[in-house]
Amino acid sequence: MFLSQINLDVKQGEFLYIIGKTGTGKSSFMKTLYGDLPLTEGSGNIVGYDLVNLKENDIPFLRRKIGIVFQDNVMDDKLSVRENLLTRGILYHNDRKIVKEKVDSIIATLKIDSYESQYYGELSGGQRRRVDIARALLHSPEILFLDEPTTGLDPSTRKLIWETMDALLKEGLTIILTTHYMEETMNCDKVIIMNNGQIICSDTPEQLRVDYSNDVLKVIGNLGEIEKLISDYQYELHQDYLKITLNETTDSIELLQRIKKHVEAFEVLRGNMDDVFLNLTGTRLD
Amino acid sequence: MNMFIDLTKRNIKLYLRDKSTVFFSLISSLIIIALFILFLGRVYIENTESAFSDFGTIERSSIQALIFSWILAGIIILNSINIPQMILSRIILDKEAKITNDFYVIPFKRSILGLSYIASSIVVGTIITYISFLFGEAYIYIISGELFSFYTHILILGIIILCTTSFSSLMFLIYLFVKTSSTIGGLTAFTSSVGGFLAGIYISIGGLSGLTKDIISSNPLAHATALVRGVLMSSQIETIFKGVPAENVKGFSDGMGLNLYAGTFQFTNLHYVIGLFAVAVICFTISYFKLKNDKM
Repeated sequence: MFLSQINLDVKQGEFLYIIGKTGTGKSSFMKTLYGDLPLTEGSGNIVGYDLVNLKENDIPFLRRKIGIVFQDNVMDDKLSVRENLLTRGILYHNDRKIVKEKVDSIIATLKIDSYESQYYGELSGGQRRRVDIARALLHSPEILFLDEPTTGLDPSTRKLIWETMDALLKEGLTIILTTHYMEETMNCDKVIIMNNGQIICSDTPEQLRVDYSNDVLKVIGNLGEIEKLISDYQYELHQDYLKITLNETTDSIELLQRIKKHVEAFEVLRGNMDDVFLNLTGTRLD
Repeated sequence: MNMFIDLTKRNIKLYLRDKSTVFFSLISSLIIIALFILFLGRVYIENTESAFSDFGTIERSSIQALIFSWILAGIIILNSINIPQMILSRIILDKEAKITNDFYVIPFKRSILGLSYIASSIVVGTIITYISFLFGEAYIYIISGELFSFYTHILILGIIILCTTSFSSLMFLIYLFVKTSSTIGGLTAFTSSVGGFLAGIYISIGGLSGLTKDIISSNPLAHATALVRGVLMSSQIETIFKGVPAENVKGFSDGMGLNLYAGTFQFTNLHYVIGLFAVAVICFTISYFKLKNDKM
């Protein structure tokens, strides 16, 4: 996947999501951000490094400022959590005393002390993910990259991972992650939507929702009669309900007044990121 | 230095904690021991007794110890190939599990990672091979009451270090071209079987003839085995065959592959050592240039 026209500005302490279907370049984009792939078009500046003119000698310094959590679990199954962290830690610090202090601190912060002596291969998916995050924090990076950190995890474990992220955000860490779980994007600072190796759009989730999706009024009742009264609106007729597209959320008030005699039940559905993605790319994410 | 030590320790721990890998490292040696017990030992012992029956009575236990020393040399060489081979398969396993990706995003010299794989192979290969030698010596003591001298131990340890270094360099180079772990099994079977013949472990090189004998006599595995056999068996031969004509003793040594020839040219211990050293230098040099441009 080749990237093109990547223009991005990331501020300290921001929480960014990168959304895109599999194969659209999310992982390539992440690799460009940590210097594994060259950026040949567009512009990119991260932790003070120009990604277009990034020199080979600059890459180690760039990577000292970045922590990466891969989508795959990349630690040793037959080493304990502590052993894994100490082995990786020494590669950053080369001083056993500093590494031990760092590992002790991160284990306490991320609350993984209850299984630090267990083999990594014996941990659950969620436990492994937290250990992966611990590993990415060993060198106190300024930015944390996570590639689909909650994929394959059950909802309760995903919630646990989010609590971990929240705690890190409160400490001022900048977090950039890729996902295809749309519902996770509502609490971030910025959403970046990618398609075919390009950034299609980049804005706050709320603004994207306002610009690229519509609220919908879902009504159940005498659908035939209701249809006669809403000719000035776009709608979808389903077997048991109607979905009426609203220009503004407040339109629902006037509309309900109009059709209330024939309505048994109704619900206002807010436009969501699935709709944003569909309207921007023409396809659904899943 | 801490990075190198900790990565080496990591590789060693991962090898030792995988019981099946450790077992398969030693399986060739176990097969040889089984062959020795079942029939190989008896054949060689009886042949030796019969060959020297005209020169007085030689204690059977001494001949048993001598023949087992011959086998033990083969075990030592097989272990010095197979253990590095199995521990270095970590290179492939790390690539497949994408653990190498994790190492690559950490800013440290790639050469430290490569050297740690080799160091772990040499350390573990040396220790386990030397331990197998000690077990072999224990068996010889049980059957004959004889122990090897301290000087022999030092020589054997030195040869083991040279062999594990040499064969580690060879396997490291081979693994740089291997992409998947499915190849490891086939490679292991190949080196165990072919390696055993090339080293003159299953069949004595002295029993071969013509070009086959010359070619096999010229390979580093055969040299390594001859080197070890010379150290283990020279003083035993001197003691057991005291009073036996020199030409008969030479015939025995040639037949058992203690002396190797390419045509009329006889290899010496110095050739063996230089050859093994050259293997290490050549393989490490090629590996260096391959890694200079590629990732591991």
